[in-house]
Amino acid sequence: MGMATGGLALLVVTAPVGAAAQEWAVEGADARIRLSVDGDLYAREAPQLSTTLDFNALLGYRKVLAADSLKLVEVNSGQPVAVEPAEDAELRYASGNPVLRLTWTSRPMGTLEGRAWDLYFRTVQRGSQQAWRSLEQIFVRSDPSVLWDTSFEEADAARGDRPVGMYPGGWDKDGETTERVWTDEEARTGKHALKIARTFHNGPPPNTNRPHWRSWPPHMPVRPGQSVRASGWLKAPRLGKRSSAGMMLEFYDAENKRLREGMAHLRGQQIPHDWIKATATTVAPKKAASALLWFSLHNEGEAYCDDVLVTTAAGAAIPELEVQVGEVIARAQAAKPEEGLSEDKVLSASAATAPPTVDGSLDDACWQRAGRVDDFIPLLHVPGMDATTTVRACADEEALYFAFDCQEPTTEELVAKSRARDGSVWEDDSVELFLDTNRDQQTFYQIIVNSRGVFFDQDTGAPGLAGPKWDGPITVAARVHPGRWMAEVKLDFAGLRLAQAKARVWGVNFARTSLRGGRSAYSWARVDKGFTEPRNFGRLLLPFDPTANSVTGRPLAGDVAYWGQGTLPFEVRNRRDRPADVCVVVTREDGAKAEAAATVDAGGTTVVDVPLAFHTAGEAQMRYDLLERPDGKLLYTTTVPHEVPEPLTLKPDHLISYLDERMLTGRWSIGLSKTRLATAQLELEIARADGQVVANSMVTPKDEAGGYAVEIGTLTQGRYELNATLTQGKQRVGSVTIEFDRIAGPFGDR
Amino acid sequence: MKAVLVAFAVMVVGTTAQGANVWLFDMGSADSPVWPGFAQVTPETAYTADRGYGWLNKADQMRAYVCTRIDGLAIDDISGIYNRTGTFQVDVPNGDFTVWVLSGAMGNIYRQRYMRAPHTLSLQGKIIEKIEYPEEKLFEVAGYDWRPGDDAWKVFIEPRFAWHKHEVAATEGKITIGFQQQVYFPVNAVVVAERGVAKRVQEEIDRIDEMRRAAFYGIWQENRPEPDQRAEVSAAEMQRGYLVADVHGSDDLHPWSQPAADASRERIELFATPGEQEQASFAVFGLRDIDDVTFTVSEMKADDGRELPAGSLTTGLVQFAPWHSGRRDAAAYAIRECLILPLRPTFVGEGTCKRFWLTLNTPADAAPGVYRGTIQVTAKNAPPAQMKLAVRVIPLTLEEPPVERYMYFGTMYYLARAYLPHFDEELFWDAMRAEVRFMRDNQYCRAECIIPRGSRALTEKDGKVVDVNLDDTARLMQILREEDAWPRDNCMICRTGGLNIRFGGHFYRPNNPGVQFIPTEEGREKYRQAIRLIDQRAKAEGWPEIAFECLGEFTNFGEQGKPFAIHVHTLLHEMGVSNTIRGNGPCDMPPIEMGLVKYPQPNWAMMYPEQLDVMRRTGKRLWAYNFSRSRFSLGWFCWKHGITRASYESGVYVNGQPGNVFEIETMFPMGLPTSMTTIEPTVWLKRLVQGATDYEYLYTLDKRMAEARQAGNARAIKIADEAQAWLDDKLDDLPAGSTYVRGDPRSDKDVQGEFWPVNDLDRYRWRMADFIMQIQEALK
Repeated sequence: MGMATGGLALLVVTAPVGAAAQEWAVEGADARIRLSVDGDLYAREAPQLSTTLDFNALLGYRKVLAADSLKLVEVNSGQPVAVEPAEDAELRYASGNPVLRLTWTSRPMGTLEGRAWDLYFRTVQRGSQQAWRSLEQIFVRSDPSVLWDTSFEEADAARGDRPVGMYPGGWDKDGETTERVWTDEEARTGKHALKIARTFHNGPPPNTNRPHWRSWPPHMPVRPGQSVRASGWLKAPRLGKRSSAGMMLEFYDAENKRLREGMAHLRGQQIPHDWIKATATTVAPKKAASALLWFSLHNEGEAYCDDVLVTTAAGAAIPELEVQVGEVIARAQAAKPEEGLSEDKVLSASAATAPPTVDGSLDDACWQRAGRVDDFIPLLHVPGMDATTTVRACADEEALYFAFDCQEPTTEELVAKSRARDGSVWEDDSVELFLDTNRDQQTFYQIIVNSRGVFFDQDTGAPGLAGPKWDGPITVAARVHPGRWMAEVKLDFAGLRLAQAKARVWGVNFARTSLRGGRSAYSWARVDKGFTEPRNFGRLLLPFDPTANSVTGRPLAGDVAYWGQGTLPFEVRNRRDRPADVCVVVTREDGAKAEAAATVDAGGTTVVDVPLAFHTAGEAQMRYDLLERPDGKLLYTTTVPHEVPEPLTLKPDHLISYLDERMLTGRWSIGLSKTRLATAQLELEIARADGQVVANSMVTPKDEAGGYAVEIGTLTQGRYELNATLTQGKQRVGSVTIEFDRIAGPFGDR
Repeated sequence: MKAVLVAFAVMVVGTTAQGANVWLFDMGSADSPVWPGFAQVTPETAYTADRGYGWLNKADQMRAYVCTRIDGLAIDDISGIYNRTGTFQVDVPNGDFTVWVLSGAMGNIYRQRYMRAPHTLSLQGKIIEKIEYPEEKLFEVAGYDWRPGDDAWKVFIEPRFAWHKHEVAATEGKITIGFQQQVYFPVNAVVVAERGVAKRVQEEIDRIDEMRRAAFYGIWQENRPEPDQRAEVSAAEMQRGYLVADVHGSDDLHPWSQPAADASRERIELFATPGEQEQASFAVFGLRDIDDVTFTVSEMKADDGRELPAGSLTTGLVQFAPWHSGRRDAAAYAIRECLILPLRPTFVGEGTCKRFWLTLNTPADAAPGVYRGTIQVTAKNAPPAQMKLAVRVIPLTLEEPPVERYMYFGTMYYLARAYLPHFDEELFWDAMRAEVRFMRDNQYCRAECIIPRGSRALTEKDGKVVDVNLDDTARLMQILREEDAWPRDNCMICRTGGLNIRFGGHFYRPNNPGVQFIPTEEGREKYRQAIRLIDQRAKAEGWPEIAFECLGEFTNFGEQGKPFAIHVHTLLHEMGVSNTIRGNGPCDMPPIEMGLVKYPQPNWAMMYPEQLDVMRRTGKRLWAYNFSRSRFSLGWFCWKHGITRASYESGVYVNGQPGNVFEIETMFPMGLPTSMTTIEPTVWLKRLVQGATDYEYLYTLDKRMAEARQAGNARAIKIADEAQAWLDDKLDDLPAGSTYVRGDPRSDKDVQGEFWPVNDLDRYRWRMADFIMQIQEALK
């Protein structure tokens, strides 16, 4: 028998207390509950099973569970099975009946082989001395359970340079010096603490990660709905502008997947500070099985962390969560643990020997053999307005193809108002495709298509690309046929972030919106509230691994490209077992083009700096093409918006200056990179209407923003101009002119 | 071998049993949380012998209500509906018991849930406690002066709930707990325990309260702003322990603010016309903990010895309070400024600040000149500090424009009707009078044609509407006359949404979502009859012109909003009565485009140039809705676009109970009541007053320029031309219509700051004053 690898196994209570027993196996027991498991595709050698039973809910008001009366018997064999009841520490106070977590081991189970057990027990009247617990036991003071109490004193057995259970992390980029040290320089108690120190040599870059320590793997066991309190001590003797140290408690599910909900922040101050205690309380979210703690530094400075205490906080949970969590766990546990995707929602994309013609008709041969699904679930449903949808998928080396076949009896009423890419296509009769290529269960590509073949596309996984800004290499066609409309979507692999993608299994969801007689919405994946829940996506099985032997990349410039900046960094990742000669071509929307070549080692990653300067403020759409040399084959392409700030902006404090005021003041901001800022000069001149300069001032900017003050005490009444000019070397980079009035103020005679 | 993880979700649905000698019940709705270990009790949990506990009433005699997110025990309650007694029975062995009842609410005013009226608790059929909830308690945290380190749960949540503990004997195997009320009696939880273990149970209840507090803080998070850069401090200020600096009226402070770099620490200077209300503020920034900080203002004297009367300056303390922060559904709050409370000594903690407010009501007969005095700041444990205060009274009189400002909802009328249905009528009208005065004194008007709710609204006979109850309107009109608070544009709004429902229309039905105007001709005819009666009464009584509306913000209902808006305004238009539509988007435009609406009221989202053009063309006057939230918008923006009435919907409470900051539904109040007859203004309202005054300067300058041209005085015309050029230049800066402002329209910074320096409006005002005075001088 093969090893169990997980799978669907729903445990169901099938008989209420008091149901007639065909064979009563346990003398003395007066009730039983049947517990059963439906088998699935996986064979298991000795599966361990567990469930939580709330006897308050099962037994009602009059009866309570007798002490030591639980017996578990397997139905088929009649054999007793050892079962371990464990009380639920959170619920045990103030309750006449226990909430028990039962754990037992089953005999081997074959494929699709179900199994059932009867849990026998005895009940007694309330108040009986034989009841599960006496009053004092009911009110056992459940002190908070300590999940973690550490002063970071014990060294990791394998690595002597770090405390047990703590790992340093975060990327260090060029232009910064970062330390993550298990230090004995500082300690609030004991001899050690965690230290993070970072210095930016040219000021903080636009996008920084946070250097950190974290307690990986998550080792603090928690239950959904449980309240968790965390405290720790932070010290930050040095902090840069907008910098702070902090801790964060976050939750993971049983498969060590990070959960987005429930995170609690323990914040330090944003000015240098001595040891302070930071605390936070939060509620463990659905699916939570464990928690971990981060200590991190935002921006730059020097910070320490010591004396961390994480405890549960009994009873402070919102029980509503527990009920919901239970339902979700049943489904989540049914999924393959390492995927976290719906087990029963699988679409196998077939290999296409000849790619389909993308024309809105599904008459290509590849579609006849393609994997297909049609089991959509209505989220919003207009009664009597059923809308059947079939989705097919296939792939070749170049691209992934999807076909939507939408049954529609009244095609003449189809709504298709959107006529341009990235319009409000979701307001039309439409189909949607969601693709979670890296299976992070958070980010995804989304493509929405209406019956005209107009589509909306977005990539939520890259900075600045959520929303319609991303225009991927996508080909779409749709056509209305009698009684149905069809859409075909071609997604070039070269447009997907294969550098981060998983091999052959991606998360996927399909959706359909039908406006016939009202709004009906259907999702293929079993979502909770809406289409966009990547944690609940189904799976797309690819016929091959598109990431194997791939050479791909990603832009690193972030959202902002500074005025006049010299290079745009692009990361190239080579997954081949031989070096790759590549060329990165960057094309600005105005046609300006630049390129840079590189050779990337086998299995290596290289950052290629492409020289391209910006001299126009505003948003600049940049297309990045990664090409193989010398044949020019497209390996990856993406279009990214960069915001180019104005080189010089002035914000005057006033546009009216009173005669008794000596200074003209305001704020300036400069949109140059830090390097260029260092050699820039800002000249401020005040001129009369006739152009005569009457005052001036020179500023050497040290930062991207600052204040100005020009001496104007001698200026008389009238209208003036403030002319500001930004230069670098002898080059004029930007200029601004602001008019202001000089008048007698209400207290000119002061 | 790898374990197969299997789980099962147990649904806990209302059958929880209790400990041997202790019974715990959490009252609420079927969907809301149940405190761990407690049995869930809903209105449907009827008593049965099998269950052993439950209500003796029918389910339809009670309601469950879920309030804001606090903790699992108090988040919801059950109460009897109006005038019904609720009786809950628990079967117990005969013996002595202790009973605890947790009662309280964080109710929302629209749901009319509060235990304001006296109510009683009975055990075994005998009244054992009369629970009073005096007016002071209702308002006790409304005027709270928050200080850093305060426990928000202790201040704002815990006082709203109380455990009522009593002893009782059971001789018939049961305990009955009765909740008698004239209105509502919210019950959150009930605990019954044998007396022998009562002490032990009390310990657990205390512990539960601590956990409720922990749950609150687990849910709600404070959004604290980044600290400002520390201001430079002189040696003298360091020695004193605090510094004092001027704060511009449009600047927001938070407790950790630092003085602005250019803020004066020596003087505050104001100018005003006779009769004008002008504002100033300063803040005390603590360098260490300072107790009992307050201030006084000396006599304000001119060089020739004349004085401003002592009563012309009102002093106040700006309250910090927790407010909803971030997204509407976010459980986050921030400490922000809110009310300007009557001046009282306050605490200023190290690294924090408190703001003080000065309102100058310049006497109408004040002689021009500069009046000087001193602000003296004192503290219990620190030396005093002084700032000079100078007021220049300028020789011009502002004209009162025929422009009105109005607030829609959240008025004392609804507050009083909701909370105090059994108050005596005179106190209710005292509250209304207080609101009329409050609005009048702050450039707003409280005129409204009120149709009562429910059966009081109108009388039908032989299938016709023969009378509409306008008693409340008549009383309000009388107060307006007595208080000299008549609307300057002689117009008032009458909302008729209640009539739509009464005659068969609806605003939402589960099986028919959206809105529907009265579907039958019979119903529409009754609606017409009611409208006609109201209009005729108003004309006969000499009340202001009535502009009828029926709902509004039709864009909320999408496409369904359009036909409703067209139907109702077609009817009103055909009747020949005045009508108005308060809109919030494109679905409100069709009746305006069709020329059916006399007074269109666009909000920001409708103020695109092309839409404004349509409204100006089809409407008689342009009003504005949900709009006037900053000085800039109420002043210069209204002037630029010819808006003659600007409204906002918040009024003087914010949906929740007074002081209940955790159940505010996005409202921004102009003021809040700190008693039934006292309303304190917010800092935001004072900015609106500034905007209304800016408008008066613009209006006055416009009139003077016209007079100059009419008089043919060459010098005056030259000044008028110069003023006109300056004014045109400024107005040209402003867009032809507003794009929808995504920032916080409460802040001038997010609105005006897009066009002009944010704090320059004072200087523009002075520029206008200078032009006006020059023209006046030339015309003499």
